[in-house]
Amino acid sequence: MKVDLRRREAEEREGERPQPPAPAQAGVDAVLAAQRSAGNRAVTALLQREGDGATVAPYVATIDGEKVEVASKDEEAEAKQIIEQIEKRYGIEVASLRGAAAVRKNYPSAPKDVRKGVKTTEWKMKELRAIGRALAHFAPILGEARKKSKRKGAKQEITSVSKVAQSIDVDDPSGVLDTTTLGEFFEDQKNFSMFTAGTDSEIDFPGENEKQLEATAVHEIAHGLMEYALDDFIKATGYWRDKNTKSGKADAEAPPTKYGDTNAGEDLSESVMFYFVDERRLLDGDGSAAAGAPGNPCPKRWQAIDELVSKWAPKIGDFPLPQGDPDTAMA
Amino acid sequence: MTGPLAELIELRDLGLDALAARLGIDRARAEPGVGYEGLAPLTALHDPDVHPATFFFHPDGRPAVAYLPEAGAHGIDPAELGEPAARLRSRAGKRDMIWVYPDRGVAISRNARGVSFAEAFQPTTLERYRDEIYREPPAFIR
Repeated sequence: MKVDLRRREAEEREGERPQPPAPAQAGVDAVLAAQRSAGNRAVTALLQREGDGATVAPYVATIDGEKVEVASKDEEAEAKQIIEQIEKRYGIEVASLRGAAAVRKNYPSAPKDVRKGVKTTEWKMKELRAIGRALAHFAPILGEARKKSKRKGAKQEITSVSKVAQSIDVDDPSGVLDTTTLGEFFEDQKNFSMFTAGTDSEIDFPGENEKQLEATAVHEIAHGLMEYALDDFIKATGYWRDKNTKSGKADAEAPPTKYGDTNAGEDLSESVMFYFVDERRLLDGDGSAAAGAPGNPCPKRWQAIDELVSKWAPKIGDFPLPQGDPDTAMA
Repeated sequence: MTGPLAELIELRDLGLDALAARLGIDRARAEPGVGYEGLAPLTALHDPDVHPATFFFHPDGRPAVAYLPEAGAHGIDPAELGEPAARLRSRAGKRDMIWVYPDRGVAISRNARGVSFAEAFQPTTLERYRDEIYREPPAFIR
């Protein structure tokens, strides 16, 4: 296939990271080296320059009913493996139509033509990989593993994940398709959706788009899977009077971000996001915020989340004590 | 207007001492030096065993805001109020809007599933509600 020069030039212009020079080695070694050093964009660029002097432009494949942008048959196989693992291991269906339907259902006051404009869009490989990494953090309380966990008595709060082009900005007759929402959780539909606005975002992790994708997914997942812990979280931090109102206590540890300062649910999701994706950021803060201001170090939040997470699955070796006379060995 | 909303409105007109006496809340539970959205400093009075609302007062004891969380569960029915003067984005969530009735001194945060919280304050204008009490949340990006 011919080189898609315009696409490559557009990618290079918009990329925040400079393109590294092509490695001296060729083939698989070069691909692995590039991926370790500079990530997927370098790999894609390399693949586009490899082969019989020809290049393979990315194309959209349909994999298990989902549209995925891939660069090769190998990526098609990888996408299929990720999708099937998410479903089999975590009990979560990769089904973008569910997300589009969830958006329309959750904005009933928005104009009808706006709701009709909500559409699915293709996954990027980096998004599927990030979803896989994000869900892995919650593995003890997902799928079959959940049945052995502390959460076994409650139905799994997330059963599908989607890629949708845009959400709607407000549930109001003034609502429009929005351009800023990176991800959203829909409680009634048990769905979390990733949106196009998040595909290349680095809002919390400059220069680290793939980490950002994982972080956004963790944030949304936490809205669902960690909601049960919100009251305990509120008590532990002392920052919130209730879900929506600050306590005003002068010595209370503030949320890790200004966004987390919106309400206790966002605070919990932001805190869980950092706990799993950048633990030091949660513990040490953003380096500039004073104590009691959003961005301050959050050791209390770290502690609260760590206690919750550690209770999910029984510890290996944590066996119940035998009953009866401990001095008498039973055959 | 009847029921929980009417009661909230009645209580919002009482000063700190009168409210404490009326509901039988120990004055020692008062928390000075706090705030509510755009209003600070305030004194909060709350006893969950007596009433689910938190009552906020100015430093001189005048009533500022009566705030009722989980308002839907406590019987607040926005249908009583009709169309609002304005709908503003709510801190409760991306799909929540605050329906403001400034001339009645009431604001209700609601979404398609119900009511999240209610505020009762001295009747005012929309402009003053926006300037003095309301704080717009950031864009809900996730």
